[in-house]
Amino acid sequence: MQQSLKIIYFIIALFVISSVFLFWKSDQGLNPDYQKDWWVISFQDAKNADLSFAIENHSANNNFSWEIISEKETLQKSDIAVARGEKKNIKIDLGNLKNKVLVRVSDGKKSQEIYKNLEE
Amino acid sequence: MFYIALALVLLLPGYSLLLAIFGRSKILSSLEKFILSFSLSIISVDFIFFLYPRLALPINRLSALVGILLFSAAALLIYKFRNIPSFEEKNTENLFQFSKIQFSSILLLIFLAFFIKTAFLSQAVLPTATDMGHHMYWAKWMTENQTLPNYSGMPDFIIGEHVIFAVISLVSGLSFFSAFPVLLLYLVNIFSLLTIFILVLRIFQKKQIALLVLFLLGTLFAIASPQAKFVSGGVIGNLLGNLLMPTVFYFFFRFSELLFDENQKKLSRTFLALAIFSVFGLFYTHHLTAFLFLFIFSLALLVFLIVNFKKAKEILVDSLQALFSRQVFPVLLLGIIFFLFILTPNYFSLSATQTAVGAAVKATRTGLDINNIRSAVGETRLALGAVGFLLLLIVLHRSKQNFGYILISAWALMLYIMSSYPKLLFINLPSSRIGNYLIYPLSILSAYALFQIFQKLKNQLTANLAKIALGLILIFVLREGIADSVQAFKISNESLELIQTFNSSDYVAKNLNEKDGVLKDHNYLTGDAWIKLFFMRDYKFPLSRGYFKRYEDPTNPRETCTLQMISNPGSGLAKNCFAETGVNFIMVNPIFDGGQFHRLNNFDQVYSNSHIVVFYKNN
Repeated sequence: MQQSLKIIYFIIALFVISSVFLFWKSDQGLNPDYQKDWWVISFQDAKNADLSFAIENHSANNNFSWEIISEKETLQKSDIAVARGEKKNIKIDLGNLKNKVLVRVSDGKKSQEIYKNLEE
Repeated sequence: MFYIALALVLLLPGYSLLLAIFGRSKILSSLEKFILSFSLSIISVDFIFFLYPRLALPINRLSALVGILLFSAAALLIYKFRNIPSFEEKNTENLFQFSKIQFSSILLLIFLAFFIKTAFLSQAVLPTATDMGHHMYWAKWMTENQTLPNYSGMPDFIIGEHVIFAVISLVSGLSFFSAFPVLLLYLVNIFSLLTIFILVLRIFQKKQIALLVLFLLGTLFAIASPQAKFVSGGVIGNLLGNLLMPTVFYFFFRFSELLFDENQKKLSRTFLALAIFSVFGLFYTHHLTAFLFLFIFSLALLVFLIVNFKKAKEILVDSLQALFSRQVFPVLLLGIIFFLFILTPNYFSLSATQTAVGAAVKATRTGLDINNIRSAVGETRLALGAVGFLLLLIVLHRSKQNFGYILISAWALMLYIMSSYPKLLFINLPSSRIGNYLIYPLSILSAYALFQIFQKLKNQLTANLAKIALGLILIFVLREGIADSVQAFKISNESLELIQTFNSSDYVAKNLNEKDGVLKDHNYLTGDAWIKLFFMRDYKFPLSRGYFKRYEDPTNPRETCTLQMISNPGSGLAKNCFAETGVNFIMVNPIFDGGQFHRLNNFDQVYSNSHIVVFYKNN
């Protein structure tokens, strides 16, 4: 085989190997669960007064506790299991709330909060 | 599908074009055909898609495939049924026949280039780079809107930077949030290296010099700007420019090589036609490189005419005749028609020219000193490049007709003047960006210097002593080149932060309606330039709080709303800004920018992860 052709095939082979490896690395990096430890809380609807929220878990810990707090008083609380890679919605139905209403979620080590300032 | 898309978009059109022009003649070696097919494919694909809006055709997967296949089929039909002129060119195979050691060295150097770049990119392949995010917005915009963008008011974006990304995405079906944009740029970088290799081989006719270039450019400094670092950073224009400019030089050199040969007029004109075609491709791809090319080529031409003073008239007449020959003129005419009537690049305006020409308005545009250049290109490469430049000048009087020697010298000299003494040429461009271009010609000159030094030593010392001396120089170069690469490897893994940026962007996109406005922070968020790809509403959506120093730049006064709305959201100024811009979603880092929002009761914290919180302005 011509040397030029050998060089061409060599370049193609190296690129294919490199790109397969880099695709694999990028898939790992963009995989929310691969060697990562994080979780998210968010209101299901950002704009209205509904306090229903979601926990999306990408950590090894599956057990979360949550509470709804208004003016330093816990209005509702519970525990919930959310598997890795899962997102669970929690429906909250509390009427006549005013001022800042906080949703605090903890995985036992860290906690995160979201809140809404409801109209008086 | 990715590899099929690459073959269809970045190999087939260019290869078919070369077949239609040269048939199966040996004017170009197989390696040259392969390497040049890549650049020619990029340019051909650009031109194919420039026609689509004019023909009222949508740009989608089917139309992309049909356009490329039609173009390639037409070229292949020409190859099949046209009488390809029998070019009386000397067989080039000898130049591409390597000894066993040379052949093994080429394979080893190519392997090392791939290995080092891949190792670096494995840590930097994720879609985090700001420039890449901006560019991929436009490529995605093309795929979603099925037409070409007009970039109104943004002369820094050029259509040739985005077409291939959009077409590869359409044909392969790959998401922009994958490794494919980086891989495409990686390929551009590798092919620019290979183009330099064949350019040097043709100009110097010495395989050792070509090998040394591969070593100095591909193996050493394989990561430093403008190579793998630019690949991961998404500096598309510069990378494509560094591919297309050597391609243009290659074709111009091949034209000049045969200019004085009466029997080779047809062939030399064919190369000129390809050079003109590539010049148009360059102008459609990157304005800065095109601008640099004009200066470099003008200097080379001027010097070529001066050193060949007695033949100057003949050169000019022959060149003009070639320009208006039946091989070249149709290409020139078509290029001008495309430029004026089909698609005029958006930077092609008086205001853009005025910003590039004139007195420097910023300290970053007043020129680099020797220390800046040394750190940009490497100490040894600068020293060897300077030696190579002087050696080339010395041999120039014996090789007056070698346009290649002049081209390489002019390439280095003009870039040096433009980056160090821009005042001399009334240039108002970022000096460091021009300085980055020096690496290519300096690597060529360094390779030439190393080769000449070795030859001289061989004549004066024994062969073994000469080899030892060369080895010592190479070790010195190696130390600096590898140190540079090792430095670049110190990258932190941003994968977790990036995922959280994308997750929050997805949340905001799902909660957004037409009237909502979004503001995000650029200082503390990872991959924030990619957020706009979740919304695809406008290039400037969401608004962004830029780097703090930019708000204090006296040479470029800018709005401060984006700063106020995050840094001081309760202020009167910020309130006016919220009213004017309609911003009601704010994405910031909870540690650096959460506090000021917690104190205000008109902001709800509606989303939280460890890296980003989203606030919603509730009234």
